[in-house]
Amino acid sequence: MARMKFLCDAERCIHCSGCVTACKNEHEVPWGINRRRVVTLNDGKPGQRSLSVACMHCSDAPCMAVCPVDCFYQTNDGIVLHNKDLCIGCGYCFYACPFGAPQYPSTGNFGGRGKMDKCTFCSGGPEEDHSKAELEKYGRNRIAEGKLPLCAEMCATKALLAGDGDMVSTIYRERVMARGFGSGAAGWSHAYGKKG
Amino acid sequence: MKPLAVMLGLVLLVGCNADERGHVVCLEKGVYKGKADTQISDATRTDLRQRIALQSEGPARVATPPGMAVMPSGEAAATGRIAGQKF
Repeated sequence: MARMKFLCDAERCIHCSGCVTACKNEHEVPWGINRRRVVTLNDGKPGQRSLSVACMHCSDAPCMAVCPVDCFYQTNDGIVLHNKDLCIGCGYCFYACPFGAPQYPSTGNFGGRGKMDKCTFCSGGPEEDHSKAELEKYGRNRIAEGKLPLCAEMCATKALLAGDGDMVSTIYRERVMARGFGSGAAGWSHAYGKKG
Repeated sequence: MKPLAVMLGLVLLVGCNADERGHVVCLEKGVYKGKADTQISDATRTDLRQRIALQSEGPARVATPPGMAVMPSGEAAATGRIAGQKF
């Protein structure tokens, strides 16, 4: 299996924020943290587009490169995860991430940020699969159940695609060929390099 | 001397805090030293592939020729499109 990837088809996204709601509900993400959000480009101008953005699980993840305590790791399927027991909440990953994915609960003493939180591609964390600790720290583990991230699975217009990168790009390529134009798979070159 | 001893004692007691125990204190640059994650099985990967294929269903499929497989082939032809349809 190729690495897991996200792709948001900006021609289809209608900014309903269903993905944001699904994510928050599935993982019981606390108030103030959004693992996924919808952004609008060229707001109010011709060519306005909406994009659903979260951690893209980059091939050469900049968050991993800058983490001073090396709390990040990549699974065999290319999902970038982190260990909250190791995280010191320094915020370097937030500055390094081109997608603004890392989030902080801001509940620590003396203005500390708290442990970083981000999209896990619905694959939990290093704790035992389906354990209480995993659910509390990282959210639900759908990947271990053979299910894809809920944000993509419940996208009404199927704008948000998730899964094996080869299949995701094939679906997108088919769409572009069928409709005769594409929006350029925003963020792919940033996250996965020129090859995709 | 006494306050110093008290402070040292407090510092040592903080180390007994449940949250502080088991922390990785010896770091090696670029090496993840936390708990290892479980990898997904081949059967789960097969399930995931089937779920991915479902994502190609929807409005795009309405316009594809009837003989076309559900699994994305990467060879969608311009024929079969509804004239002028844009989605």
